[in-house]
Amino acid sequence: MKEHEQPKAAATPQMREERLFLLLSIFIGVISGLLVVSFRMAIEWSSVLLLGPAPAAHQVLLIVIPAVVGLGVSLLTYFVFPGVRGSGVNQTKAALYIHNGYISFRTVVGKFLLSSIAIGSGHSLGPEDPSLQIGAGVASLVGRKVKLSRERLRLFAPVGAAAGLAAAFNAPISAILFVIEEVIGKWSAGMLGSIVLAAVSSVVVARWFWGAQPMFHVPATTLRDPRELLAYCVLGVAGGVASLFFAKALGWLRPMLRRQPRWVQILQPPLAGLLVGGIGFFGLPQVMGAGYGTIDQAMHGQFALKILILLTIFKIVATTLSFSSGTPGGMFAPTLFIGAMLGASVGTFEKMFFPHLAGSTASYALVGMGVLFAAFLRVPLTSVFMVLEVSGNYSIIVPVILANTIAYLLARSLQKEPIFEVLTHQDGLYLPSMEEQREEAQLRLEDALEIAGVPVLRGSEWAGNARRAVPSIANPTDALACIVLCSDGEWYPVTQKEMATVFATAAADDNIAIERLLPAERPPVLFPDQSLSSALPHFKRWPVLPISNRAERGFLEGIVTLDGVLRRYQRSGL
Amino acid sequence: MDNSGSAVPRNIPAASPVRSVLLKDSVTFFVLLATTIGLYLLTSFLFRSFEARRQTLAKEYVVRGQTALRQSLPTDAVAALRIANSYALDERNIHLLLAEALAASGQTDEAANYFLSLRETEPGNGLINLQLARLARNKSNRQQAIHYYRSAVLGTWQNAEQRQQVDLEFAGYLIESKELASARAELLVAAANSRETVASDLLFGDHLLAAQDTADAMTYYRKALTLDPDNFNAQQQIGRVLYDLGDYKNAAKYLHFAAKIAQKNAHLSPRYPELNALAEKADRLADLSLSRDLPGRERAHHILTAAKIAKARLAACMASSDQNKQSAALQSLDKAWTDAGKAQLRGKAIDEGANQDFAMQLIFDTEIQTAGPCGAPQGDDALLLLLAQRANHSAPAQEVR
Repeated sequence: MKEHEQPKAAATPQMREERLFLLLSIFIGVISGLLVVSFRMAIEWSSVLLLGPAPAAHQVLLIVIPAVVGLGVSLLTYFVFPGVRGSGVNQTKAALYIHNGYISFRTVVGKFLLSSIAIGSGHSLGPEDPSLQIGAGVASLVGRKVKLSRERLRLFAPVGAAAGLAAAFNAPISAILFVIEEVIGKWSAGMLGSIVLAAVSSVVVARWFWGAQPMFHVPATTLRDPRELLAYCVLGVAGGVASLFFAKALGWLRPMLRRQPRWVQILQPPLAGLLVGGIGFFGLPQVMGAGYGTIDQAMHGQFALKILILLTIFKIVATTLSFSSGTPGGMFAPTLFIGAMLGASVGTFEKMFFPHLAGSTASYALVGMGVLFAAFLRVPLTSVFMVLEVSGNYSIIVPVILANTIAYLLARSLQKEPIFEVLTHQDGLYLPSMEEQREEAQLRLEDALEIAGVPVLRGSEWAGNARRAVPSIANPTDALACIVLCSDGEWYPVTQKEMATVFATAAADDNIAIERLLPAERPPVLFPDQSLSSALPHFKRWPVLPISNRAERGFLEGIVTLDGVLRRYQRSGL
Repeated sequence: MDNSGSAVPRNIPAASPVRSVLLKDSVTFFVLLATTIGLYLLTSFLFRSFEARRQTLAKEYVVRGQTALRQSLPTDAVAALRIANSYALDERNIHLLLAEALAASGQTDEAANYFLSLRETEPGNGLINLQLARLARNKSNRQQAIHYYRSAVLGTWQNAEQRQQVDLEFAGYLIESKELASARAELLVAAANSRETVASDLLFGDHLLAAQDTADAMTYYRKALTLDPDNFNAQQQIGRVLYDLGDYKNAAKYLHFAAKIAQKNAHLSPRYPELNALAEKADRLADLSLSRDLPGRERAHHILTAAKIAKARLAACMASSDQNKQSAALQSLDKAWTDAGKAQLRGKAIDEGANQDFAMQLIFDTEIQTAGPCGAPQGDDALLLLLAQRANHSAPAQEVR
């Protein structure tokens, strides 16, 4: 009775958590979706209330409001909500890897309030990364209230992050991929299920309020001439270079500003607001705020080449100022903005000088968004799906993949450290780099494979024959004596000690099949393509592990030993 | 039994921790549900208020944009409609207005992009296709313009009149592009599909005439006349067409009728002098007509009348010019007239068809040859010259029609 109770009692909390985890994922998705809808409303309300319904150049409000709001936000950040600085992506990663999934309620409230006011007042920041952190914060809060285990609680933050981002972009696939690519770096079926549930729930909520239409409306694009791909290659190169400038600017200014005395740091957001407002006042109000309206205009070919280039440059400047000053807000929207302007610039240029090669400006702007997303944030897969989801336009897929890949590879070669890593290092944290993890070469069993070097016997062989095949050993050890192919097709590595026992048992009758003298237990079935680490847990019981062929189980590929595996690891330097 | 001394006996409520967990989880679930519902209600309330305000702002700026468009201030309209668009992102009407304003302000590419996005969701919308056709027309992209015009013609419209307007605009574009056969085909299909009214018959008649389809144009003018026998436009258009075709007798009949209508109606009276003059001219041309279709006797009479006029013109022309400078052509004409007086024009000889043709050619040659050295003819000479030119297919285009 007690034997049965023991596993049941142990399984109950785990089973409960597994079921709760999925159910809670839906709740997290819905709550995050509602909060993100409110967050976007708050941003737009702030913008209308602070800058008026029709902000335009030469309005004094454009300079005054970002500066005044910047001061208020700065004071609140320093004295009330210290955890809200930055975009939110690294904070979520830090919660996952350092704080066991803990994100305080105060941080969520602060992020919501301060980011919405800052973006609404015209600071050049976006709402997506804060949405991601708000989602993660909600998940953390719910997980704590439900008293999930530490392991589950840690995994819950990325689930909320996916929900927050999905609602902000109205793009569930991109959000799921981003969280996998940039936040957790890997996925399991259970984890993916929760992330998908949360992301889908949040998008359903967001669409309930905002509608199901994609973020941008662009006409379908057709590749009129294969040579047009050359133009997209140029865009990929331009995106790689622009992302380098953007990353370098942030990498230079942010640590410099953070080294300043505390009172200077408090003055940085208002100063950044003043400068960003100045850019708006003197003719480029489009760089203020998230800038989605301007992206839409660029996609409809409104701006001339000169204005597009100016918008690209000044958005980089404005975002660098706003973000480096510590004003809470995200970088996704500015990245998309810069990419769209850059893309539209390249498109307009191509149209002017190579009219037979260039397609619509909208398609270049769209591809440009993906290009900068891939190059600056280093999330190539997310960038492709993001473009498709925000435009609802599948016809652009080939140019997007081509340009994004070029931009990503170029950015990697020009700037080794991805921007999120640069920012975490600036903050004194050392979180795992997902890009590095993706690049890690995984060792497999075939890399440590050794030739057996001992007799290989059939299980049906008489013990007497085996005695003749295997040389007698005076002092038996755990070394391999022979390998036996059992009648069920599995291999049994027989140690010298086991062999001695078998022979002792068979002393009375040599005409007995050797397989019947071996224990019923069998070693795990392993194949050459499996990870090298998959063998490690079994060495305690099996000093030697046979490696089978996937197509023919009766065919022995070789063996692996603990020494051999360790030697292989040491040789690879991992 | 447990001998560990624990206060809770292990074997009695084996399910009690499970029950406790279930109870706890149920409470958690209901708390979460209540929180979610509360948050949803709050968000919905705020969202409604937010949307209402956005709608108000959008409407305000749409009105401003429309006003600016009406006042032919497309740049101001674009600015206002952009703001309206930012407050109502998915409002198709605003997109349409914005696209129209952009097109009016000369931002053709941007307007085309907006229209193309709109067309993606509503490919059969007549108005959107028409706007795209106009933009393509402005960019001299003939192929695209025709494609979108066709889509517009086949697209959805609120009423038949709008479709008819597009049909006519498309036909006009085809005529402008010198694709007269296509224009005629479009017009005939459109005319067959449209409701028959005097106005529509006249419109199709005018367009068919522009497409150089005189016969079908006359059909539609006559249909108009059947519906309204006293219709001024139908009368005068038929008169003009017949005049251009050289049927002066019938032309004069219609033109006199039209002139009479113009004389009676105050708003048409300014056109009376021109119409009356044309009718008189048609009358006189009918009297001077040398057409082979005339009965033999009547034609002979006309030829003798015209011959007198032509000979007088030649004589006057030769008298006015220096003897030495008289061209060989004039002298040859004079000799031809002298010879003709002795042969083809003499007595009953003129009743013969071949002689009539000879005399007609001599009359026409005389009027054409004298027009050069002796200046533009006046009166009957001018009319004879017109007949000569028409006969030789050398008349101006509008006259040939």
